[in-house]
Amino acid sequence: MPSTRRPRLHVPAAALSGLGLVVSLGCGGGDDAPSASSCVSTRENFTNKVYGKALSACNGCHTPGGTADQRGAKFKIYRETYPDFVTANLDSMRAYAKIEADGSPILLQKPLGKREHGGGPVLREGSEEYKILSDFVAELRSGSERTCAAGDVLGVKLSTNREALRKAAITLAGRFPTDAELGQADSEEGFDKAVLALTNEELFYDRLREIWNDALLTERILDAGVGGVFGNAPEQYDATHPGYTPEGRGWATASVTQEPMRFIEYVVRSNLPFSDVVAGTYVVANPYTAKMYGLPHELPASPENFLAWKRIDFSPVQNLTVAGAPKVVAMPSAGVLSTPSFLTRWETTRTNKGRKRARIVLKNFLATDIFKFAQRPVDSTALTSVQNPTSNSPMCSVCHTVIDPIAGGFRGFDELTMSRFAPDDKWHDDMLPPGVNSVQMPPSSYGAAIMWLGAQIPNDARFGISVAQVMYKGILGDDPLPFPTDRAAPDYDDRIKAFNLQNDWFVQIGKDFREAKYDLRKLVLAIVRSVYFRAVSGDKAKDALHEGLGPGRLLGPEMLGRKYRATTGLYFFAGDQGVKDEQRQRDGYLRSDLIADPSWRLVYGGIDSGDTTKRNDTVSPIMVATSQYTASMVACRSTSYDFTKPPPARRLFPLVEMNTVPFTPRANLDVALTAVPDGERKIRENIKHLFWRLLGQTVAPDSPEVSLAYGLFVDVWKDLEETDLKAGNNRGMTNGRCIADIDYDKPLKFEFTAGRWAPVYERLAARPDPKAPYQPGMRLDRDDNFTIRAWQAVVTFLLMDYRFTHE
Amino acid sequence: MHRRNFLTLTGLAGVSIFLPWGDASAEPASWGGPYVLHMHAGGGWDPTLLCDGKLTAQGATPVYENRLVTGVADVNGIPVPASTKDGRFILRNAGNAIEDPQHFFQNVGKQMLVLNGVDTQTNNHDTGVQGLACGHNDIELPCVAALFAGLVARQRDIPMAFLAGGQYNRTGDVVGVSRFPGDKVPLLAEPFKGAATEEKGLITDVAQRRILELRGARLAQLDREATLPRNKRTLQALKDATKGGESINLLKKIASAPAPTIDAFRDGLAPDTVAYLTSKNPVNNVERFIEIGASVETILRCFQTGVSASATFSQGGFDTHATHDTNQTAAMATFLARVRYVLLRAQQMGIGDKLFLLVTSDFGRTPKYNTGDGKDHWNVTSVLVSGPQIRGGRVLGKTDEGHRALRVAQSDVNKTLPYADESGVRIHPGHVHRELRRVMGLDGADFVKQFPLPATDVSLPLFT
Repeated sequence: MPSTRRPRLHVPAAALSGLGLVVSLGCGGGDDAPSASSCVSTRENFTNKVYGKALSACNGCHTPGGTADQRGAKFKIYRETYPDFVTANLDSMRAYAKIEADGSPILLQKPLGKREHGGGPVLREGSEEYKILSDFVAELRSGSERTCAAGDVLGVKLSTNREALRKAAITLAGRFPTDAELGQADSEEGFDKAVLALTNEELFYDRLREIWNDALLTERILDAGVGGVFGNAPEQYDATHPGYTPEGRGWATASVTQEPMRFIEYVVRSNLPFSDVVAGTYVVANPYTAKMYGLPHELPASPENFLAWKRIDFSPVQNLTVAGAPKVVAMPSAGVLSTPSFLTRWETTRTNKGRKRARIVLKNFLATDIFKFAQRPVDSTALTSVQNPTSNSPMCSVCHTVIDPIAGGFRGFDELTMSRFAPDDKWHDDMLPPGVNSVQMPPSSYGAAIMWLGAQIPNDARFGISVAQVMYKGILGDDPLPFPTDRAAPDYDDRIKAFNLQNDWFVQIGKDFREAKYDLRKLVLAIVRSVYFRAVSGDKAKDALHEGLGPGRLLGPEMLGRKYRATTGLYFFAGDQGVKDEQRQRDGYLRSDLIADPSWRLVYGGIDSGDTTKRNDTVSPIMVATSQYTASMVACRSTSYDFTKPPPARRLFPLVEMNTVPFTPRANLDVALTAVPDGERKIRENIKHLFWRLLGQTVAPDSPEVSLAYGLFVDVWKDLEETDLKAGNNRGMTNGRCIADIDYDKPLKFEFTAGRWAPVYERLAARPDPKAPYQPGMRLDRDDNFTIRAWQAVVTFLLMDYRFTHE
Repeated sequence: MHRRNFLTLTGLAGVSIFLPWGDASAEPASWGGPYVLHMHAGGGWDPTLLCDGKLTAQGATPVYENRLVTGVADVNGIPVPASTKDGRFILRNAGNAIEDPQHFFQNVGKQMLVLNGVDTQTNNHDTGVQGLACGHNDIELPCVAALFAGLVARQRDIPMAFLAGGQYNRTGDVVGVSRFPGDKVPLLAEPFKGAATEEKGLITDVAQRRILELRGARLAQLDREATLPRNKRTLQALKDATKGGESINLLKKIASAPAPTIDAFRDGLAPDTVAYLTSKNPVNNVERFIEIGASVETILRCFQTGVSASATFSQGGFDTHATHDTNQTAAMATFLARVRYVLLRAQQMGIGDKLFLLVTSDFGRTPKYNTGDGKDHWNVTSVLVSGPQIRGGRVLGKTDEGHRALRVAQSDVNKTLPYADESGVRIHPGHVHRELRRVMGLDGADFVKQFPLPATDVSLPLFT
């Protein structure tokens, strides 16, 4: 007999680490059990047919806040915008299916217009929809709910642990894994340890801030002038103050702008529960923001202390003048929600009343896109006779019953200055009282409403799911799959299945995240272990089922910028790689133009958090040209620089020497080229190494892939050799930028000259006699064997490759 | 069929039949028109201050309030705000006269078709932006500018078919999204050089040539490996984007094109605005009108040079929940001046008669002021449109004294019916987009059929 236990379609964590995503879909045992391929669980049946078809006439009114809900109907249908709407609806229907009148379930009478159904008849008794509903109610009432046995539903191939670790190291920590780490990853335990270790590295925190800024968009410049709200440090913004300097204002501006992202970084760096991001009743400040808020910090506000962000358990101090008298007010703290950067980015007005902020809270911390509630015809002109329509018209209240109470959590924050706080502020009487999830905020909390709201959010199961979805988007590049709405699509069932699998997975990892006390590192590990990170191939004809799967996530400008250094040792830069920017002190004062230059970021599909808030997820022709340019620049410098090192220390060319050539260079053009024994083999072996290092691709030395690159090497080499024979003097670098002169792996120094801090690099040793054998560590400005330029072409080719610009 | 895969299923063959105006003389890597520019007033404009002028209604509690406009003029049937208690109605920013709606519709804007009483069916910014950009409130269809660029991209490998600068730039993967690369143009035009001025490239000439030649073979290798949707989608986008690579040198023409002179615009400006708009901003020594137009100048140059077929543009400042009259007129002044710039400059460039111009906003503003002297969200708005096959110089649709959308007769869209007369139709963004698709040649393209407009928004002959 089919199992009658309550169905759970979650993905067992252990199953994800091995061969594939294994989910409970094959039917349970029993004589009458259908085959695994035909098994349809109660849960799947509900999503495919009941919710998608039979209930489609009901969910407009029975959704929370809808007309039926407004009139007190007990039966609720949660829309697909609710993260675990399948479980919520099954619970709701299971409970309601038991209620009957005159021997028949009310759930089957109401849709026919009976039992004083407020919406009148919405289904016909003989219709297909009614039959689906009847069969489903009967199934629920009989307790014969069906679950299905395990089976490899998706049928996709996953990357190996080594491949997955390489991808994780490059995309999360901006570096290439060591051989020891790759070996460690062969065991599941070792793999987990290696991934978790990546989340403790400096560049991971850069990535973390990027991921969360993509969601919260707070890194749109907030000028230090916001300090006027607090009145503690006028020297940061008042040009007439004796201590004012434009540079100081710049650092204060950077500090207050970055505060929310630095808060998030601090929480993770300190191994605090991620719930502190909304519930933390403390400030995370560096010396600049501490000064701005009137809080103690042991370090002075100077650039070298910019990164000294620390927890301060005092409230920011506001100095007000009320009725001509000075008044000091403390401001409540609730993670990022109370920061001036968040409050100003998501500004409000006297009529918006904090709703925009509430929308952002719902979207990013409660996995609820309120706009999805409202995409239906709204006719304001029909509402002119409705008093306070946001509360009293179902057309509006469907959203406002959800959003308005949360907006009330921002009570007290001024609607003109955005950040100024008044604890005795009168909230808007026309709105629902502050609260969340039907729980009203106690009036005793009104004076610090944001702290009450922040504390409630992590208690909601949606918080874990929401954080998981933000991290998923950041790591995988795609939004979670939307609920399929095209019921007529021939692959609708597969789309539903894909949605269900992913939705259930989010529910599970959200739950695990919560049980792990909101340890973000474990959440990252869960995503990296998942099929969504690791699927590499599958059935070409199963696109609907495999939606959201596959390699090929376009790397944004920041990720691409870090990948250049992770693989070749150098960032992409036009002028200097070193910069006296104290924000970069933990990365050796290095900069990538793709990250630091806003115009390169935008050209390569990035965001500015203001006008451009969505990243490109596929390349444009301009981006292709950009990747060609950046690849050429990086290949030019890194190829020659790599050859200045002894082979074991090389990143790119450990298997060849500069004199490893395919043919013996000739004395004149009349002589035929003769192959050098073992030359081709060594070159092919090194190309194989480059395919793994740069592209993550394991190929054989005689594969078509290697042959393509080897052909390029040989063509360029032959041309250089022939040109040298014809015209002579062809043994220098193609371009002066490609001369290896600087030892980029050595620490940088800075020297204040001509009014600026200029980088001082450690130079490679001079090569006094160009004819003497080259020794590692020497300046490299000659290409006597034509190999450096040939390798440079190969590296350029590979750095432009799809598998380099995508992961 | 899944939208993301349709690209692989639609070949070039047959598409050109939907481009009757395709310029046979254009180079394969450039486009000779038509062009589409969608300009959006972000935040929700107040059309009663532009093309649906109204005065404060009668009664103790008037259904519509306007503290600014005291007179409305009829310009080709368009009700244009004309006067205030202080004289002619001029749109100002910080007190400076920047636009004159009457002059606009009597002169440079006289070819525009004004659609009043457009019911967006929403008060929600995102939904409104989406609906006006793609014609569907509920389903995120590609915006019409992207669809048009997608159609062109199937015929010409132009490098930046769709320039995305607006608020809604969904493409449905029919075309890649491009942003103008500004001062990076010289670098990208010579991607194998460290700087455009350098004589020697970063790699040898043979290396450059062979890399570009081998790219096709490499893409074919990758294509064979790609079996999963994300892989297929992003690889297909790369293949499409790579096609336009050869034409990227056209970008150089854009960057090096001479800047327009203010004298070329002087006659096209409204008399009351000439003094300010022709004066120079002391900060950068650029004339104000040239400065206002700078953000759309690049788009027009891209059209003229043939590297782009369509673009979206957005200007904010219209969400005037507080101090509506001052803030809304300031935003409207700059925005309308930019529309004027586009129309004047397009004529100068010789592309004026090939330009589809769509001017929209999220929705309208409430008839009454709120307690902060602001106006809130109102689902009724106006749309301005011009271009080939669009009969302009007139207005269709109407609103009542409370700025409620009146209906039009299905049999004759010139006939207005009462607000509640259900035999008529309220003009929706879907109706407008059905017409846009028709005149742009989109409605016959197979790939566009993957993105149907709301079935309830039937065809209305609004543009003929």
